[in-house]
Amino acid sequence: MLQIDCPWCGSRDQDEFQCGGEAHIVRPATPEDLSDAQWADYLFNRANTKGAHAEQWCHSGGCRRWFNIVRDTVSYKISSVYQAGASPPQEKP
Amino acid sequence: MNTRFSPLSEFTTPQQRFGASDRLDCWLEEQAFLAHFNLRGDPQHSDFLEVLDEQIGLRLPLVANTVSVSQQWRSCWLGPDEWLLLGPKSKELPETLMAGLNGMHYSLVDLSGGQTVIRIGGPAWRDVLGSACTLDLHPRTFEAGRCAQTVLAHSNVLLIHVDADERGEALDIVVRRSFADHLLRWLIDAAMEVGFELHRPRT
Repeated sequence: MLQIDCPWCGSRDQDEFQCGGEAHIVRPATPEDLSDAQWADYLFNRANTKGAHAEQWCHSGGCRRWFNIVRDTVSYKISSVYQAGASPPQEKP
Repeated sequence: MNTRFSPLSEFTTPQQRFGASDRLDCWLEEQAFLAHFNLRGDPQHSDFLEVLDEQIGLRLPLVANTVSVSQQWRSCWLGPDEWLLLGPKSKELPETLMAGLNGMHYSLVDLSGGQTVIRIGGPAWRDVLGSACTLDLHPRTFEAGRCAQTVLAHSNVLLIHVDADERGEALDIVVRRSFADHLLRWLIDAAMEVGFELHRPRT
């Protein structure tokens, strides 16, 4: 089980959280101008990253706040936790 | 007839159940009919905290997972802009709050009928909780003035450390009423090992 550092409550078991999928997907400003293919791409297609992956999580069993984490999809190691709305921290070289 | 039934009023007969040992190292009791208010507002707003503190006498905790006590009210941190106010049933508090916060961006919801409080105490309460709670409840980290929201036996709960119970240190478990029966039965099962006493709901 993962231990996730909620930015508010501190370290808690994964049981208390819900994963909201890939982070930083921006809703198109004018959906009416998009083709069906473009809209479907926004709705369904995800990066399927191998390695560092920015995800949204919600501490649903605790403070019920959304935040973002960067998790390695191979090792499951969480490298950073940051507030919803913030940009992902730059990777260290 | 105007009889009130608390969510756990089914457990009214004073029962003493004995566990594996002859000792009774734990007690359980419902704190029925308390007033529960969920208050949300922006603590960055210059007037919000000031009005609550100066006009109403409520000092809201701004540090995560802490409780502050003012007058008869316990204010528990639920989120960066959300608190639970626990206290005796009162019509006065919501009225004063609404009058004081008038014109501000806030939300006040009466949850009194929707949740209840189970108090657990006695020397072994930490061991009973420890059979499912994943939080570190050791006195070193979970002490007076602390609270924590977590999942306990599949129920979302708010745990509040109680320092001032006349029977010694205890813990309040705030739980939705529909989960209360399940949670109390679960606690009874978990407490069997240390031996426990079930008290009448305190109103």
